Amino acid sequence: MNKAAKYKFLETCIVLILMLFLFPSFLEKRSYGLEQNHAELYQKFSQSYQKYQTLIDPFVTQKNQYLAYRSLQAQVDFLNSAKSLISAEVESIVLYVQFLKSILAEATAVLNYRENYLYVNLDKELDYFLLQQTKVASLSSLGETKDFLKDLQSHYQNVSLFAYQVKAIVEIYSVDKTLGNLKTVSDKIENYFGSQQNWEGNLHIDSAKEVFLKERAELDKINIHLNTAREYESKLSTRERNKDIAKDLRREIDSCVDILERVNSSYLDVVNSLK
Amino acid sequence: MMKKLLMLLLAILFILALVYMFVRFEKNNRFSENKVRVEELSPTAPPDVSLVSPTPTISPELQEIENDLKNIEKDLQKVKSEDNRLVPPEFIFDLGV
Repeated sequence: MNKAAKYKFLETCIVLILMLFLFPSFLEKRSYGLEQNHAELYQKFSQSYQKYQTLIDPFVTQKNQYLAYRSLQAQVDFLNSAKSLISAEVESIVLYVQFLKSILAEATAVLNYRENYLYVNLDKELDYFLLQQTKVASLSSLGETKDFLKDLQSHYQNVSLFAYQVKAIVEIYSVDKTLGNLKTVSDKIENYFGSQQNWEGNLHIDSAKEVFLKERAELDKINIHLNTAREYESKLSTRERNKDIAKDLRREIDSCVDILERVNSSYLDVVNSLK
Repeated sequence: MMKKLLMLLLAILFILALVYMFVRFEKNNRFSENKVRVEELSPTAPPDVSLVSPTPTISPELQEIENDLKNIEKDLQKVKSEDNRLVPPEFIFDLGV
């Protein structure tokens, strides 16, 4: 190997080593960004949605003028105002889908949600809406705009369904994980009682244990509500009234939270009585 | 000779880089766990009777249980508040003409 080739080889080695060290730092920043993003993304969406809402009144005014006069100028003005509205609409939907993806990413990282079909479907819809963003400007007639909106609506129905599904997943998995944590604490309390042999016959301790056992049995009721919540989740579809199903599901989650709060509070009382 | 030395150096640095990557990822995972909305608690072994002190100070086991319960209380406050951002917003899809 001549001198030039040696230097070249050395240079390649240094670059490779630097890349190996920099790669994890890059990954770390990306994953941290994902976790941090949902609040920012929602804020961006909110701003975009507000902008969209400010365009509704001009759109309605132009529509009324078009319906009243049916003139060519009124039609052109109405079409332009519709295009502005649709453009803002698509932009808002894109940001909303990105927000949903970030929430789903958090559920995957924190709540051990393992399915990926929602990711895939959200990505598909995101691609669709990003493509439509470029097409809005080329709409040239009211008929074409109507068809465009119809297609947009069918895709937004999917996004709407995915939003309710993400909501259900976050709620169900959060309760499930909290239940798991409380069961772990139950085991710790039980072990603590088991280890205190010198307390046998102590009425104060016996009554604390009785309260603990009664409350621990309450945790089984949560599974009934969780299963009902899962049934509601499976009912979510583009054909159903998802808003009503989501409300029913939330009622089950609230029942779970009530029981969890009650048991947790009783456990704290038990611990305080053992101090 | 020079080539052999460089290859050896590269091999050592590669192993060091792998160890470094592993440590960074471990650290990153721990960081993520600290940020979780609902923290997972690890079960611990039953406390040893000999550790219980006759003094009125709280035992470490009870202290750990109390801390766990307080963390769960905080988690429950988050689960209790419904995230209405996940209720999809309304949009107009009809020109109305």
